[in-house]
Amino acid sequence: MTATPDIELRTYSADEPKARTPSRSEERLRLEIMALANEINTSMEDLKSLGADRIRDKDIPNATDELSAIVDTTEIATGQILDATERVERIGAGVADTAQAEAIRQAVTDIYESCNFQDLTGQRVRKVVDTLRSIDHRIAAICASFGLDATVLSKDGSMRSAPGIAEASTEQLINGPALPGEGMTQEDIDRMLAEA
Amino acid sequence: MAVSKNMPILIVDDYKTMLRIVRNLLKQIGFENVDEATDGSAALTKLRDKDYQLIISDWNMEPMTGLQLLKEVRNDSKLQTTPLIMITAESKPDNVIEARKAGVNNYIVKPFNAETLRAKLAAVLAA
Repeated sequence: MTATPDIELRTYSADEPKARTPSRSEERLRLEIMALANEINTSMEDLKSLGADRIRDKDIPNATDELSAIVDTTEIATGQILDATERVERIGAGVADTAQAEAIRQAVTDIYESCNFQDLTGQRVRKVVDTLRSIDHRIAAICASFGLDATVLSKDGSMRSAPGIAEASTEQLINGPALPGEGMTQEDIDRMLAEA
Repeated sequence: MAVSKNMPILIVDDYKTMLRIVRNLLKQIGFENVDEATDGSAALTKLRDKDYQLIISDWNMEPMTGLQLLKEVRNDSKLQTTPLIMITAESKPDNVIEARKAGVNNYIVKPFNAETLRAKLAAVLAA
């Protein structure tokens, strides 16, 4: 794409009494500024062609809605798993055979432990939503700095948010769940507390 | 601390699923006198109404976090000796140090298992 720089550079005319031949470094600087102006114009054109308004009005809200739906669905599913597990636990409590009763109890415990995932996935999704919101803000800021049409900015200047997880998001997560290999293990934490 | 299986325990978490998991695991360990709160401020209200002998709290909650709850508890003359175990996904060293400085009695990182919960309960209640 060829773009014409909007920046007008001062040129020297031979008629001007105080005109002088620019030095090599000034000429280099002038060329650099022109190249920079070209880059800015190209970026503005690219930004317009990206459809920043579509990204902000549709793509990002859609993405956060989808993420919200994931959290809702897993929460409902986990609730159903827990319902069934509690029923099994009650049945297990009535089993006369001690070994069988213990096997059921252990299996029930394993399911309860496994259901931890719902909380952790929810927190991970919140982190992703926060990242999307941050991108949303940055797009708005870039558009504003380029003086692009105000329609690309929020209609009311406020942040849009996805239903469901919106109220749980914001700044409440300090770091959130660590990725595998990051953060400390329970053993690390125990050691740290023991050293206190 | 004298441990009774009927001792009142308050669990605090904004995820209903986690409240249910912790409650069920406590029940398996033998503790059935368990109440719930969904954030630090709701927990404080309950703590001032009833004499709980143990608090098990998440960290990330709104409007009042588990860390703020811990600080409030330690600053309250009636509550300051109540043991508090933090169960959280926050596992950065700075988080643990901050919680320790605020007076946490023990710290469990999510995802956790029943054995870890049992061990931490035993350690805190034996102290």
